[in-house]
Order: sequence, then structure tokens, then C-alpha cells
Amino acid sequence: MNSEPRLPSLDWSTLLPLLEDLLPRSLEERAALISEIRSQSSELAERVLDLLARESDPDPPLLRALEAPRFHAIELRAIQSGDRLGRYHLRQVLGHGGQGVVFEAWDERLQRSVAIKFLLRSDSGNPTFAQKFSREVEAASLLSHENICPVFEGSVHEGLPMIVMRRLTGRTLRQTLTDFGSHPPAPGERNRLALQVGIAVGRGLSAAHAVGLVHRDVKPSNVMIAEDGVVSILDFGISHITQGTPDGDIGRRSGTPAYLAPEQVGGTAYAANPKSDAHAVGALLFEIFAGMSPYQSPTLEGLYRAIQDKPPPDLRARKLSIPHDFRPIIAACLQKEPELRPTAAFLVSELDRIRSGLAPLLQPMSPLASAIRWTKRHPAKASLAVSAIFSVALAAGLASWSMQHTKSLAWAEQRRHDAAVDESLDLAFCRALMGESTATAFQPVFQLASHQREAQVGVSLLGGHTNEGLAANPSSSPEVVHFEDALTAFVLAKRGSIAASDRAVRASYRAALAAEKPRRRNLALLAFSAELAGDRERADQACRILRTQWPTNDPVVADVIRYSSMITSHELPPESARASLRRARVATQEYRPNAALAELGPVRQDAPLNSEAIILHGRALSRLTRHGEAKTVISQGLKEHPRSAELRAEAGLAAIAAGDFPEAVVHLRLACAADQPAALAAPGLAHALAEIGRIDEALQITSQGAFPRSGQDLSEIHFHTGAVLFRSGKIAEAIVALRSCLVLTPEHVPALILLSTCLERHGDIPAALKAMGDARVIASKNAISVPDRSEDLARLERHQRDWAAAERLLLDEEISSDHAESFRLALFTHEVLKRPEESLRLLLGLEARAPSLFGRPGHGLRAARVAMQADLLKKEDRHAPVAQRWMRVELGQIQASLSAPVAARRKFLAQWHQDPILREYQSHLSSHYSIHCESLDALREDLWRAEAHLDG
Amino acid sequence: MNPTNVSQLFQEAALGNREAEAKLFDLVCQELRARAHLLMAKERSEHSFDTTDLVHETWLRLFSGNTRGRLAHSHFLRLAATAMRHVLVDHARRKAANKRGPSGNRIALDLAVEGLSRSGCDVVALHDSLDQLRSVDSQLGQLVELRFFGGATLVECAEAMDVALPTVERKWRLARIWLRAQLEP
Repeated sequence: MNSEPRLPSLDWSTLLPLLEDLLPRSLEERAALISEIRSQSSELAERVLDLLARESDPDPPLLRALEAPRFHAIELRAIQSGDRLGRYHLRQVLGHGGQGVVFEAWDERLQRSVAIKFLLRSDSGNPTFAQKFSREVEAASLLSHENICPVFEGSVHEGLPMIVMRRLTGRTLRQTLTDFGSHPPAPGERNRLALQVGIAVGRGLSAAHAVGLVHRDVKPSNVMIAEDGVVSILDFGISHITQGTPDGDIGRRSGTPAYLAPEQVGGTAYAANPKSDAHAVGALLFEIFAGMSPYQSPTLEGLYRAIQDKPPPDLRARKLSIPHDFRPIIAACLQKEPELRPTAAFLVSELDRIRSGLAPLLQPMSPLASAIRWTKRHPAKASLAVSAIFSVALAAGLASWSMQHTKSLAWAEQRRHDAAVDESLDLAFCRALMGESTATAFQPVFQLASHQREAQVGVSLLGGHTNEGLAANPSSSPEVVHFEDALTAFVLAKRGSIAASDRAVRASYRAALAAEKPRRRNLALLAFSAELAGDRERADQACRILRTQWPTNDPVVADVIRYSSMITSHELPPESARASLRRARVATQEYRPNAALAELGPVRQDAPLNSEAIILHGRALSRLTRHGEAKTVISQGLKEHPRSAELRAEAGLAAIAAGDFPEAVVHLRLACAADQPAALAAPGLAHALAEIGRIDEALQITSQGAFPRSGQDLSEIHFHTGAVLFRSGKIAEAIVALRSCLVLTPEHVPALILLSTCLERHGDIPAALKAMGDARVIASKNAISVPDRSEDLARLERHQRDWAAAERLLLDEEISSDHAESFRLALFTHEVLKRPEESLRLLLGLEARAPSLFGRPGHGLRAARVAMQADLLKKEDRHAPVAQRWMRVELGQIQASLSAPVAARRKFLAQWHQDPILREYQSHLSSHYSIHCESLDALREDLWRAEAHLDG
Repeated sequence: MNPTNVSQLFQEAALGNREAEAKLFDLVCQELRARAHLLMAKERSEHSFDTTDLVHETWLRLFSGNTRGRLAHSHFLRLAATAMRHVLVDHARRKAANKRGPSGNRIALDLAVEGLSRSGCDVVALHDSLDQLRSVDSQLGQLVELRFFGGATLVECAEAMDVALPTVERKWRLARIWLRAQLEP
């Protein structure tokens, strides 16, 4: 601040009162007052005018910052233990950090303990934030793995974002490491911890990476070690929400960035990739042994610079105490180049090897080599970096004896490893090309090889994760480039691109012949591409090479040859029809069966045997509820392709849609038993089994997981899973599954209808109505006939009206004069809307005004149920006296009433006696040694006596 | 930090026990400084000045949900704003006295002070002016302190000062003029 003011120093004791007086006045009044001031002191008047004028200047930055909306302080006060946020009852604070506060809470709907994290910094002023936030959390919530802490829901409560997740008991890795600092652990303890944490975190990350989710913020405070030893990763997939706005601007970071990878520091929030997570794990392992993170600096900028530019510390340094076996894998994780780091799966396999006492596959790098690598910083070959290191070392003429020794050993090991990887790649590709799910086909490769690019490309393309082709990495060997090119072309050709099929043949031919000894995968690709394009000659050539170069009993070769001849039998449709097929595929994805049918017309005519067309045809017919036709189409198809698991599965799915569940079970069991089961076979089977009442079996199948090959598969899997959950009574989970289906396929009519039923059962009437309404709109838009739901709709609409009335009643707190109606609504609030607490409140209010209502037939028991349910949910016994009282009122009426026939009264009493809620409540009271137990017992005895009295 | 001790101190201070209030004040100052040391220096854009984070985190640390209610928070805010101001000024003065330049371990307080001076605000000078302001209009002075050093919103200020919100809004307008005059003489 300049100590030389423009005008002579301000006398605030005079100015302030003047200004305070002037500010609220109008301009004319101000002018008058100022001229008065001027008559006393022109200087003063100038000063005042100057200050007032400046008010309309743009704010200096500091002032602007002060005025910027701040949310945390207010909301912090709004959130306290004991508060209720909808269905969550906040209990104690579990912890707090830079990002926000974590509470333990009780979820009343699902009756379980959860943890809720409130984010205290956000751009929650942004209107679309809530939507985006919920969706992000929803995506993260689809992850399901024992090493990942499940996230249930994300919502925005009065501007404050909150994330609901599973309540875990245990300690974070951060706490454990801090303890190590003050109480040095026993020898071997660090090893044990490193293995425990590394393997578990690696497994969790691996599962998430497989579906495309990256954590981005793995650090010790995000790793939870439970009391039973199970390790979970927290904050999965939502770290970029908690770190900053999702639009790429990192904004303010909370906590330390010491575990971030270089590309995360240098790039935008979306530079993070699976390898960034690997870097973080390396840093974790480092810290477990060394007691500090690999990069340190007193300032943030310094830390960023260190992460990006400074080489990782030498792991052999004594003070770091990193065991010999761990050094290579940690070093690999801490590489600056993401490509040089291992995949999570490889990390797990290395740590497993260490745990079992086997030698790790990775070999230590010499410091010279790592220095050279670091200064050059060009991407490595797509194979383990070690071979490059050692050739550099050789060239540099390094030759200490121990180096030589390890070198030759490592060299032999290296060659063996390369061969094994190659073999597994061959097998994996052949299997995947022939239709096996990419997850199972490529698993052996990932277990062996660090970051096999070829395998990753294979998973990507053949698994249907990319829509276009893939640009081959130019620094790979020429042979790999050719192969990737050919693979891309093949995949495009299969999807209907005519130009691509010719290109596929040419590229595959090149690839096949590029190596000295052509690889099986290249030849398989050539054979299949050629068949697709109708180039018999090339196809035969490929098969011939396969037959001559490999032993006759090589199973893969035999399969490939057989499969290639099968492709022709599918009779690829002529070029014009291929485009139609593609459009039909899209229409099926978007749930537009009529459009699909229209497109399929020409295809079915020109290529009656094309199995994909048959499947799409059957599915479209099934969706239009033309079940008979669907069945015919599919069974004809099965005659032509008896071994097609896909068709078999489709037959099962069609049977489910038609309501013929036993038949569906038969088809789907067969489909599951095939060598290469269809993606939807298992979920469909579970659905059908659930429908015929075999719930346990269905749940077991669902828990085994499924391997979708495309977004559409995934959507259908969610649907079938939802149906299973619905039948097994897990309504809330069914709702989540169905919603997941609808996220992917918003116009999925059966899912909407089922969702509506679930929501109604769950008590959320408005949502149920909306879902039903949406279903009808979409159905009529697509001319799909929907089973007549007018009864359901009428009932829902009645409920909607009642719901609105009940809400008003609850809000007004003024019971209307129509007590009977209010009573009905109060019961409705419990029985349909599933809100016992609020219902109870209404009933208690009514009791004061119209106690006789409780005496009417059935009312006392129903009201008592409300009280009992409220207690059962919270495991309390507060309302026992109330429940009892109401039942006694009704009992008294029954006993006193002589007009009702005896049989009816007896039946009534018997019903009470056997009421399941009453029983449950009684056992609840007795198991908690409640003082009300006796009085409830007495009530039941009175019921008996009353019943007996009627007999006698 | 024993939570029950803090709550006790707090309650006693709220009842008017001067000693408790003084102890609490020291505690808060201590905590603010400790936090400032622990916090990795945060990334600052030119116009962000966030001792608010410090205050906020100190609140969390000292009271982690144990003390309920608006009253407690307001009381805390009053204390913390003053504490923050003292801590900052102290630090600025010490830095000014230390002619040898920064000693390597820069912490949040350094950045706060530097950030402020880059935005044209000399903390020490502001502090002195604020003292003067308090003698002229104590309410205004407190308002500036709460908002500027404590990062309080107007609603919080209203509660902490025990006046109605419209009054605070009016006063704030005045305060802005005063602040502007300090920042841009």
C-alpha cells in the first residue's frame, strides 16, 4: 500500500458517519446534502464525492475474492451429528480432511450403516452440477470388487454435495504408516504390509481399469485396512470431483499431491490413465519401506517440479531399506513414462510371485541405464524395457562381474519370457477372433506381460470398446504395426465397412508374411479377413501355411481352420445389405424395433443365413411382442447354426419375453454350457430361474458376474439382473440395476415397466408414475404394444393423489376436520409410501382429536403396525405403549360389539394373533430385554382369551 | 487436542470467563500457526487470499462436530478472525525484520502475506488502520475483521455480531468503501 495518498489523509471519524448517512439516499437528496457539506468544507465534500464515485468502479481483486460465494462455513454448521438428511440419520463424525467431513450415518430405507462424505468445496452454484455429480457417482457405483469400497449414491443436499458409501471399520494406510513412525514395526512387518496392500490395491485397480475407470488419487489416506485384513480403496472414480471441477481445471487441490504421476501434474485433470494409478501404487510401496514419499519438497511448486523432472530416488540406498525383491517393481511403477510402468494386473502377479518366494520377472535396472533412459526419454519398445537396457549397457561396455552374471541369467530368462508372451498372444488373439470374450481370452497375456500393447489393442478392438479404428503406435516394430492395422481393418469390415474388408485382406497378408515365421494370429487374421471379403485363394493360402507349419494336434490351428470355413457359411450379405445390417444394429441398440425390422428386410432376403441378422430379427420381433414370429425365426436359425451359442441364448431371451420361463431355462442352460458362451446367457438364465422361483440359484449366477461385449450387452445384463433382484425381494438394489440399464438405453420399455413396479413397491409413487408414463409414451412412439396396465396406472394415479394429500397433511401439521380421511392417509403413508415415522406422527395427532377412530374394525391393528414398524427400523421400543394402546382400543370394541357375527370376530382375532409384524415385534422386544415385553405378552394372552371366549 | 477441554473452555468463555477466553484465544492462535505450517503451500491465483481455509480447518480440528449450534460457531469465528489477524501481522512483521530474505521453508502464512502484498495490501498497515477504524466505529471494525480475516459470510457476520442481516449489509457497503480506500488510496 502506498503511503502517499493522493488527497490529504482521511479523517474517517468524520467521513464515516457522513457516508453512512448518504448511502441510502436518492441522488437528489445526496446532491442537496453534499452542497451543505461543501459550504462547510469543500475538501471534505470532494473527498466524499470521490469515495462515492469509486464505489461504481470495478472491484479490486481482494474485494472480489471476499464477495465470492463461499459455501463451506454455512453448510458446515448445517450438518451435525443427529441431523437427518432424507433417509440418512447422521451419527458421529468419522473424520475430516481437506476435502470435507465424513460422517457415519444410518440408512433407514435399507437399514444399514453407511459413511457419508460431504464435500465442502464445490461449484455448487452451478445448476447442472447436481446432475453431473450424480451421474459421475453413479458410474463409480457400478464398480463391484472386494477391494473397492462401494459407493452407493451421490447427491446434492441443499447445495452441498455428498457421497454415500459403505461404512468401513479399520484404519487407513496413512494411520498405519504414521504409527510406524512412532513405533517402529517388527522385522518383516513392512514386507507383509507391502504385499497385503500392494496385492489388494492392485487387484481393485485392475478390475476398475478393465472397465475403463481410473482412480487418479491413490494415496495412503485413501486405502483402508479393515480389522479382518481386507484392504479397500476409497474414493474411487470420484477423485476428480473432489479435486476440482470436472471440466479439466484442477482448481484447488486438497491434501498432498506427492503420489501423483508426472502426466497428472503436468497435464489437465484428464491426463490421468491407468498407468498413473500404477505410479501411485509404486509411491505407496516406497513409503511403506522408506517411511516417506518418493518426492518431497517444502513448496507445492517444488513438489510438482520434482515429480515431473527429478529422477526417482535410488532404491538401493541403505536408508530406504527397500528389500531387494521389491526394487524392480517399485522402480517400474515410478517410471516417468507411463508406458514403461506395469499394468495393475502385472503388479499383482509380481507381488504374488514375491509372496510365494519365486523370483520376480522384472530384473533390476542398472543406474547407468536408468540414467540414460531418463535423459533420452523416448518411448520404449512395446516389450519389457530390460532388454533395451541391457543392450545399451553392453554397447557402453560396462562389465563388472556381477553385472555380467546377472546379465546372462537375465538374458536367458528374458528370451523364455518373450517366447511365452508371444505364445499366449497367439492363443489369445485366435480365441478372441473366434468369438470368445476378450476378458477371458486375454487374461493369460496380462498375467504374463507388463503392458502388452498388442493385447491392449486386441481387447480394445475386439471387445468393441472403440467405434473407429486405432492409430497404430508408430514406434512399435513394423510387424506389430502391420498387425494392428490389419486388425483394425478386420474389425471395421465385420461391422459392415466394405472398403475395409479389402484393406483388411491386404494388410493381413502383409502382416502375415512380415515375420520370418508367420505367427498364428496373423495367419488367422488373414484367413478370416479373406473369407469376409470372399477371397478364397488367400484364405486357402493362410490355412495351408497353418497346416504345414504347425503340428497337426495343435488345437488352436485346428479351430482356426475350421472357423474360417464356417465364416463362408454365414454368407456375408452383399455390399448394399451390409449398411442395412449396420443400421439395424444401431436401431437395436437404441431400442427401436420397428426401425430395426425395416432395415433387416433386405438383409434377411439376401443373406438368409447370416446369424447376426437372425438374432437382430428375433430380438426386434420379441420386443414388439410378436412372440410367435420371433420363436419361428430363431428356431429356423438354430437349425442352420445348431452350435451357435448366441442364437441359443437369443432363443432363451425370446422365451423370457414371451413369458415361457421353463423353456427359456432349457435354452439358456444350453447356451451357458457352450465353449464360448454368449454374453447374455448367464444373466438371462438367472432371470428365467428367478421367474420360476429358483431364487437362490439365480442369485448365485448373478454373483458370478458377466462379461459384456458391448454397451448393449451391458444394458441388457443390468435389466436381467434387475429382474432377478426384484424377484428375490431386493427392491432397492433392483432399482439401482434397472436405472443402470436405463442410463445406457433410455428407451428400454420392459425396464421402465419393471422399474415402475419396483418403485411402487418401494413407496416412491411419483417416480413410479413417471416411469410408467415414460414407458407408455415410448411404446406408443415406437408402435410397441405394451401389456395392458390400465389397472396399474389407475392405481398409481390414485396413489399419486393420496400421496399429494398425505404430503400436504404432513406439511400443514393441521389435521383437517375429516378425520376418517386423515386416518386413511396416515395409514397410506405407512403402507404404501413406507414412511412409518411420519405416519406415526399423523396418527398420534389424530388420536388426540378422534380416539374413537382406532376402535373401528381393523384400524387399531393397522395403526399399531405403524408404531411397531417404526420401532423395528430403529431397533427401539419407544412406541410399544402406543402400539399396545391402539390394539387394546380395537380389542375392546370387538369384545363389546355384539352386532358383528362371531365367526368374523374370531377370524379377526386369529389374524391378529398370527400377524407377522406383531410376532417380529415381540421377538424384537424380548431379545432386547425390553420392559414392554411383558405388556405385549399380556396383550397376546388377552387376544387368546377373547378368541376362546367367542367360542365358548 | 483434548476435545472436552476445548468445549469446556469454550463454554466458560461464552459465560464471560475472561481467563478462559484468553486461553481459548491462545489456543486458536497456536492452532492456526500449526495448521499453517502443516499445510502444503496452496496454489494461489493472483486474486485468491485464503486464510479462510486456515480458519475453517482450525474450526474442524478443534471442534469436529462436538459443539453444536450457531452460537458456538459465531463465537469461534469472532475469536478466530482476531487470532488470524494477529498471527498474520506477527508473521509479516517478523518477515519484514528478517532482512536476509526467505529462509526456504515457505509456508501458507508466507504466501498469504505475499499474496496480499501482490494485491496491493500491506498487512501491517491494514492492521494499524483497522485499529484506527475500530476506535471510530467498532462495529465496522469488527465487521471488516470478521470478513477479511475470518472469511465469514454476511450471514455469519450478522450472527457473530448479533445484529440483523440488513444492518450488516448496510454496514458492509460502508466497509467496502473503507477497504477500497485502504487498498487503492
